[in-house]
Amino acid sequence: MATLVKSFAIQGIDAYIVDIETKTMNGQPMISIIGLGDQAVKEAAERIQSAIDESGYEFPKKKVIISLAPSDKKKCGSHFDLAMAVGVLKQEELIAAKDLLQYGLIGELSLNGKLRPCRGILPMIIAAKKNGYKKVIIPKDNMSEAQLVKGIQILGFETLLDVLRYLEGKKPCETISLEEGPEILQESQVDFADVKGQEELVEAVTLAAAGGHNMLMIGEPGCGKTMVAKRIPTILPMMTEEECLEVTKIYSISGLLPSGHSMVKNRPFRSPHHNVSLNALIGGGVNAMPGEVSLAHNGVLFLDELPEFSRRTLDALRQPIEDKQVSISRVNGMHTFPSSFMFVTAMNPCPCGYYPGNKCRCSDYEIIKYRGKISGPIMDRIDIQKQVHPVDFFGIDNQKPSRTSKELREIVTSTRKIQQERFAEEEGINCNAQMGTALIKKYCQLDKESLDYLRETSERYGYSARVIHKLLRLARTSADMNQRDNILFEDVQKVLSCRDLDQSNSKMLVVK
Amino acid sequence: MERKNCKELEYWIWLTQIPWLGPVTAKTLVDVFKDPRAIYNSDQEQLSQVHGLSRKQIDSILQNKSMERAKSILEMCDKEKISVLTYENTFYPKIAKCPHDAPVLLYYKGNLRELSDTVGIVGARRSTQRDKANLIEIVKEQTHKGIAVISGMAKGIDSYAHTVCINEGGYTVAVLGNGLDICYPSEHRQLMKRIEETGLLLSEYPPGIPPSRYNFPRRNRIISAWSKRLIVVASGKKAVP
Repeated sequence: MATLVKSFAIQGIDAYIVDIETKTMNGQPMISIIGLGDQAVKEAAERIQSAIDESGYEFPKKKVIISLAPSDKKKCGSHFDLAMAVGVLKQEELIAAKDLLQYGLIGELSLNGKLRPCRGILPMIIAAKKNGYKKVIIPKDNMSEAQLVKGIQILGFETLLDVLRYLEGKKPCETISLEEGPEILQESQVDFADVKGQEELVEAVTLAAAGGHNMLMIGEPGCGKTMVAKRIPTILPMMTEEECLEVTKIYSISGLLPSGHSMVKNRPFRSPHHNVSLNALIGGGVNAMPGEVSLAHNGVLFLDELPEFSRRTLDALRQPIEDKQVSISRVNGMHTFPSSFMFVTAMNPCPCGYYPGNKCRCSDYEIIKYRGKISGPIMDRIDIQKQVHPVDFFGIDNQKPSRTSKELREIVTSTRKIQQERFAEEEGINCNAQMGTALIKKYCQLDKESLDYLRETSERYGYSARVIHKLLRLARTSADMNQRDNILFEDVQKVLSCRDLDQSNSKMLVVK
Repeated sequence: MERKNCKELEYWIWLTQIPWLGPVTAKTLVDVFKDPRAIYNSDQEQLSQVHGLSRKQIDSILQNKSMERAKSILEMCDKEKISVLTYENTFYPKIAKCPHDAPVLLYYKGNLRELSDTVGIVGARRSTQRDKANLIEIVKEQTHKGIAVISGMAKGIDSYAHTVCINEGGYTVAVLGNGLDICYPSEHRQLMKRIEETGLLLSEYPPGIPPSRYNFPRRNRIISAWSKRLIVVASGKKAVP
């Protein structure tokens, strides 16, 4: 009869149970691993043989068949090694292990019989708990990550021999519950206090962060766009436990979690270079891996030099921004990754970069062409367009201290709280940026003075209804920031200064 | 186009496509023979009597009697809705005939009309915001006086001149250094369309000829020939007059 051992495989950001069956038969000595494994799974044969040998057992001189079920799903990774090795030994009755089925086994074997850490531990433990397992055996190095899941016993081992001794009941596990590993929450290196002389921009950034609005910064090279963008995660509210777990899961699958660390507590900040491939941005590969949009989940995705991105890549962002998740279809199934991020971008105002300064010699047609590289649908998803002015380094105003990230974060957090209360009953809406037409009508009423002002400006710059909706949402956030129920004239005034690109475009000298 | 007229045009185009034969010689020939068809049918003796015709040019005329190229150009013109303006045409402005090397044939697209007063505006492709502001004032003033603005549809000053003129409802002529089926620079596609609708696109070059650095100075001579006055804005030291 074949021996059954349990392990796990990853699909998307979730894991499922894999039954590992081992059968030995008389015949020519060989190992055959079946069940649509990738190269890493196939190569497990050599690792298992060597590790068993090093652990003082003899690998059976028989025909060995190992099957990973369900057999119709592709599996990848090296973490099946431990389960396979235990299966082989048990099948040959070389170990006297009892109740193997109550354990989940995860771990890669080294040729010396040591257990190596592997990727995707967190989702696998979560799957184990969900399926009612009480104990999971993992490499010791993965302990801190695994311990994020409560209510399941996690057993960390260093060698295959230790695992076998434990399963036979000869030696207890030494590392059942480690004290929690250091969390990845370094005191952030950056702070908004470093940003001098950009009060207006910082105000706009706070507005964006407070209402969940996407943002575009336009400015000449070296005026501080990237500097500001890097600091945005420091003013977003702290992540909840649930959000942290989601982010940690994604990083765990991508193998980006430094070993010895457990939970990711800082909001991620991702800034892919502009020649990023479509698959790297959205996610992809034969066995789909999360892309930049998913790695920026619950954080900030910053695209610097927006017009330099290929149009195809940019347009692929539409769906993730809208749906807050990406689905990647592959032959072996559909992978869905979350991608709820704040979209922040930066660009130069013209090809040379210095418009409207004296250095600029670009013609208006060139500028329009340059700006046209960003397709309408993407521009549509950006609420705030802010011109960044170069800073006068020696100016007196710029010597005084500016607001710190901590102060700004308090404003953002309290504003978000108001929104959460407001949208408590609305399904799938958390912040002002997600308001639909009906909600805008309900919550964004203007008084007459403001309405007239808005109308006048809109007519001057030819704003469409959609842009006006954006402005109303922004005005709502602005009022929330000041803890007001009604939108006032000053709010409207403030948000109208957040459409710099539209205003600059309308001044271009081109044929109508 | 009328059949006979069409045949006539073929000979005009043929005349402009003969190697070693420029506009000056072409004009001399037209003056002597009155009609391009007569030039086509002339023999060596007749040609050698024409004053100022070199041996090489006579040989070239006699050897290049194929009408293939002329026919294909005319076909392309039909396809692209490009018309031909010959030297003999009444719409060919008198003032434009003044230079000794005025082209005997021009391709055009848009609305051809009698030009009373014209101003040529040319300038730098890369200009400052201040130059641009000054230019806008000049063009507005000229357009309001009903003066047609002639320029080259190049980047920068040229494009502003056309744009302001069109936006102010004036009549503008763009003289290109390439075939009229090509839009160069490509960001002026919209502008080119609008010029065709409200003004006139003009070129010495048959459709299919790409822009090249040698074409533009030759294009400039047409701009200056067609304009009564010429305004040069923010030009560099090396600019071609």
